[in-house]
Formats: sequence, C-alpha cells, structure tokens
Amino acid sequence: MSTSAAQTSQSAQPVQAFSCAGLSVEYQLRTGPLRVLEDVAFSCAPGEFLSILGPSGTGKTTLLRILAGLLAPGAGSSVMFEGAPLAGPNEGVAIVFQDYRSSLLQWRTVRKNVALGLEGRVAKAEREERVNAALDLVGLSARADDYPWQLSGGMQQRVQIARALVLRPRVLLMDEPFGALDAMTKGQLQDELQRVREVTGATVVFVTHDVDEAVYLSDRVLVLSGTPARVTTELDVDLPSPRDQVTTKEDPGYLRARHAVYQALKGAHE
Amino acid sequence: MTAVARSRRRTGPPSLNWLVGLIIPVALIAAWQIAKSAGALPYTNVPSPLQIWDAAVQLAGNGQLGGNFGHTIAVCLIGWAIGSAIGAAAGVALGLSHRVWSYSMASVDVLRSIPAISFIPIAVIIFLQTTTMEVSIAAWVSIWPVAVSTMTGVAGVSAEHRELAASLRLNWRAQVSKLALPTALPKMLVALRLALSGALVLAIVAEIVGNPHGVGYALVNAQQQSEPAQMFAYILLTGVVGLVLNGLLTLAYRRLAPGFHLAESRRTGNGN
Repeated sequence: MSTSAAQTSQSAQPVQAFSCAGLSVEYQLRTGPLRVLEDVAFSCAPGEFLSILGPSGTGKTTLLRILAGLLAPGAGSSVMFEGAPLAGPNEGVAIVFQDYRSSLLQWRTVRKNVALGLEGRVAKAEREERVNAALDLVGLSARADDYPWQLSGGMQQRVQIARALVLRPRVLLMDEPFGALDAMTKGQLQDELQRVREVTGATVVFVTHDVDEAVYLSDRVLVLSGTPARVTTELDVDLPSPRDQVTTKEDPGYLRARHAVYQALKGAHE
Repeated sequence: MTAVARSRRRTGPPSLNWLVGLIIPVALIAAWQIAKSAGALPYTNVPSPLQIWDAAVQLAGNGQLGGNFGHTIAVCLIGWAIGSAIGAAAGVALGLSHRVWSYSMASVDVLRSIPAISFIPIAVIIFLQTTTMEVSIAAWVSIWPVAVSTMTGVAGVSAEHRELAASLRLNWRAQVSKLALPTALPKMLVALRLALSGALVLAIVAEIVGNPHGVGYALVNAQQQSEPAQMFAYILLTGVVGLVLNGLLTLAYRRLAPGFHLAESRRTGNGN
C-alpha cells in the first residue's frame, strides 16, 4: 500500500522517465525500406515497472534499443528521457541483454565483469564495496571469483543484472532477460527482480513475449503488435506487491489481467 | 584463483605424459650414435652425438657457449619485444579504423610479403655490422604476424560487446584495452609465438652474414675451423632454446591471463 502511495506522488511529478510520441523506425533492407515501428506513443513514470509485450519480430527489442540510445529513431520521432530529448546512451540507464553468454566478458571473473562499468570512474575502495553489494543483492557473492562459463545460465543472467545494478541506475532496461531460462529458474529470477526493484526503486522497462511474466511483474503492460507495430493495448495491472508465484497467480485480478492481455493479442492477430 | 585450481583438478594431477615425447629423440640419437660407431655413416664430417656432447661441454666450460647464446637470445628477445609492440599498435589502428586500413593495408601486404632475410643487406648498410642491425631485423620480422593477427582480432569484437561498450559509455581507450585487445589476445598469442621463433632465426642469420657476434658467427667460425661437432652443438642447442622460449611464453600467457586459456579450452572445436 505504501509503495502505491509513493508511486502516486511520483507520477504526480511532470517529468516522466521516458516519453515517446510519433516514434517510428525503418530498417533499410536490400529489398527496400522495412517500417518496424509506426507512431508509437507511451510514457513511463519514474519507479514504474512497464512491460512491453508482443509476438516475436514485432520490434520490441528495437524499441528498447531506442530507449537505450543504441539506435536512432526515424525522422519526426520524439523520444524524451527525463524531460530531455534522448541523444545516445544515458548515464543512469543500464541494460540487461537477452543473451548473457555473448554479453558477459568470458575472460573476466564474475567480480570483474560486474566492475566493468565502474572502472576508471569510481575509486577502488568504493568500487569493491559497490561490486560486493551488487553481487550480494543477486546472491552471487560465493561465485565472485569464478568465470562466467563456470556458472549456470540463471547465474550468468544474475551476473548481468549485477553488472547493471552496480551502476545504481535510475532505469533498468531489460530485453527478454529470462527468455532463455527454464521455468523454475525463470520464476526465481522474477522474484529476485521484484526484490531488487524494491531495494533500488529503479524504473524498469521489461521486454518479453511471455504474457504471464508481463502480468506477474508489471504495473502496466503495453501490447505491441501489427506490421509496422504500434501500441495496440495499454493495461494497468492493479495487484498488491510483493507478488507471489502461487497466491498472485490465483488472484482473480491476475486472471482478469491475463485474460485481457490474451484478448488484446488475439484481437491484434485478427 | 579458485577457478584455476578447480579446473586443473578436473583435468587431473600434472602427469608425466610429456616424457613420452622424449622417446623418439632419444631413439634417434641412439641410432645415430650406433651408426656412427659402426662406421655406417657415409659422411665423415658428421660427428657422433657423443662428440657433439663433448664439444658442447668444452664450449660451455670456456664460456663461449653462454656468451654466444646470451648475445643471440638477448637480441632475439629485444627485437621481438620492440617488433611485437609496434605490430600490436599497428594492428589496433588497422583493425579499428577503417580509414587507417584503407590507406595502409596495401602497403602492409607488400611489406610483409618481402622475405625479412632480404632486408639484412639493407640493415647492414644503414646500421653497419652492429647489434642494432640485428635487433632491427629481429624486430622487423616480428611486426607483421603480430600486426595482422591483432588487426583481425580487434575487428572481431562482437556486436553484443559493442552495444555493451556503448551503453556503458566506455571511452575509446577503455574499449581498446577492455574489449578489443582481450578479444584479440588468443590470436595474438599465436602470432607472438611465430614472431618469437622468427626473431631467433633472423638474429642468427644476421650474425652469419652481418654482425660478427653470437651463435650465428660462432657457427661460421666453427665451419671455417673445421669443427663440425661445435656446429652441431650450436644448432641443436638453438632448437632447445626455441623450445624453451616458446614454453615460457605459453606459461606467461597462462599465468598473466588465466581467464583466456581456460575459456578457450572449454570452447571445443572453436579456433577463434
């Protein structure tokens, strides 16, 4: 209850974490231009957990890469980060990529992977302290001196999350972070993410194609569909926090939200 | 540290398997000795292994062996270090800057195609019959393999790592030192080993035809004084020196960059 009160007071602030209007993207292919996103408009409040949901190939990752400043949007698009036009990767924004194996530096230990973004920026003592805290938060302190390839997939994804958290980001951008994991590990990491968010208060933009995951984790779900894709549905998920893998998923509110999202996806296909 | 220890344990305790590698050389030396003693060798100037051993002991005793090898190894290592550093820097520039690549790659391909040995007369004209001449040749031969492998290595930074670097807003120097060079390192090691044996060969050749010092000059001297056992001693020991230098380099790589060779040994069948 107290968290939702905090959110109301935060969303009363005029400055959104992100706000996009008329956002479009075109890829130049050999066969001609391919419009991926068309007139996408949404905003994301500070502290909000926003999921972007849609079938594979709809441009969810493209949208996230634009928010990350890794990809420039098409002409006429307006993308604002904390009230200012977005022009490249921002301090305060951290990304967790889908493919942990190719994103981690396999030649560095877990500890040194996490430290990467702080090296040369933060004094050694503070760096060590922050790295330890981040590893502790994702439960990897015992594996700090191992190499990524010695860890399971779930642990490697935790390393990536720690690497993002150590930067103390205001916004966490996550691109299907749990997509490659088995159901059990996925559930564990979802709950760890909830906890991390509670501790850090970070805004999360979470890309997924898993309806249950989106509903379970989010304050709000955006459904992206069509070619080119638009935001076809926007749905508030009004469920108490923290959520629980068993009780939340039996909650009528959860089932209603899940139903509504499936309807939206079905409608988009017809 | 723990990772290294754990993975060593997985592959078993350090075994004496390398001893089997000695079987063939020992058998060959024994056959050689027997053939020579039995008078079955048609070339009278080829000494027996025992005569070579005696020559080596004698040269070691009067200090010539240590002095000559000391000179040649020093030249080889100094030239190799200088050439490798130049090669690595050039490789980074070639691999990361399209402009540098466009302007220089044709020249690089021409220069590295010319046998390094043919530059010795030129080096003698420039540096005269000096140790500097030798070092310059050892460096020259080291530059090219290191430059080319560093170039392809640093260009191999994955799209994911580029995006990571961009999102962490790593500056140019950090991108080179934390992503590009580590990515290139396994390829560079192969080149560094090639360069090291190249530098040893070229140092000796430069001593044979240019600078009257070291192992190369000792070989010429022994030939002129009709001391074939000494020549063989120098030649065989040069092989041992090459082996040891290569082993030390591999050992240094494993010690200094434990994450690399362990990650490589895990990646089966992937040469990159």
